[in-house]
Amino acid sequence: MRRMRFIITILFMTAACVTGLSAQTEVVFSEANYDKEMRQVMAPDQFPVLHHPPMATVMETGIEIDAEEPVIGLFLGGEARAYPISVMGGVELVNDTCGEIPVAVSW
Amino acid sequence: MYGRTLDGQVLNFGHEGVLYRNSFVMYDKETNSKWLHVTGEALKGELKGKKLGFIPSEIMPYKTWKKRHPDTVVLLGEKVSGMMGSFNLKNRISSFGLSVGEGRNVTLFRYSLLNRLPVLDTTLLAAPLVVCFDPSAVYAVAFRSLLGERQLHFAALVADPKAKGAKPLMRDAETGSLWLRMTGECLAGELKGSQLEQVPATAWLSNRWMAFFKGSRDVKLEKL
Repeated sequence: MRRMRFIITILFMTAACVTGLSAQTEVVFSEANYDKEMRQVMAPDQFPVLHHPPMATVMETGIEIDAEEPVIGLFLGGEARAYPISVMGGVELVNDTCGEIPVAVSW
Repeated sequence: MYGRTLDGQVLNFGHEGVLYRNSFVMYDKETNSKWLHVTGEALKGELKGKKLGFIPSEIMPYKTWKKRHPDTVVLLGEKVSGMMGSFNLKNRISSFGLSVGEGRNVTLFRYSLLNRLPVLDTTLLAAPLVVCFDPSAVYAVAFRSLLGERQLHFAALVADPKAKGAKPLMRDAETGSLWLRMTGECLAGELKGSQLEQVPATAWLSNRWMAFFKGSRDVKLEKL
């Protein structure tokens, strides 16, 4: 009986690993969990954030953009805006407006 | 990506200097509440419990975005390299996934999976949807696979390798109609002119997604 239970447990664990559904626990996005797990890695505002940064068409600037460069694309209110990942990697957060709608762009 | 307007007030965000589950935390300058940029919810402060409105965005190569939106403006600024900066999506397929859904009710579809199954019929919170992938441009979108109350099932059409620049297509099993895979527009057949509804989804670095959502019971990882 004990051996049978062991085999069933092993089979269950194997199946859980295959499906990637193991280690599911309770929801932990709470203020208490935030206080417990958060790490202050630098002072507030030390990491740069952009507020309504200058944007232009490539034709206006003459700046070449690599065709394969990944961008975060936003089409909103009839307006299209592209945020190159190579630039977002250095700022992570942009307070912007697209089609007159205030947006927060993050990476 | 989120709207910054909450109950009629426009919020301006700063960087809290905090990492929570490997993702940075924002604060709003109006109330100093702390916000998860991943889910758009405030966990601490006066606005605790509030949620920002989700705005769908896409990550794709510049040439693909520019082709879709010739008048697009581009963020100017200093470039960085490395994991969070410059890279070629084609060389990083296994690093990315499409997080479908909003807030905590999300499912990750890894690009490595979608590269093998570029049209994937599935369900999310009991709602049928189809996740579509363009291997040449390396980006994914998701649509509700309902047209009115009629559920459709899709299969990818294999592109002619000689047809340069051909758009990825799919066909529904119910009527045999032909659809543009990445826009959800029906091109030909009985359902010509119909449009599938896009589902909120965001491209993610898979390891950051896993680090953030691991342990949440609302999250289901797709079988790989």
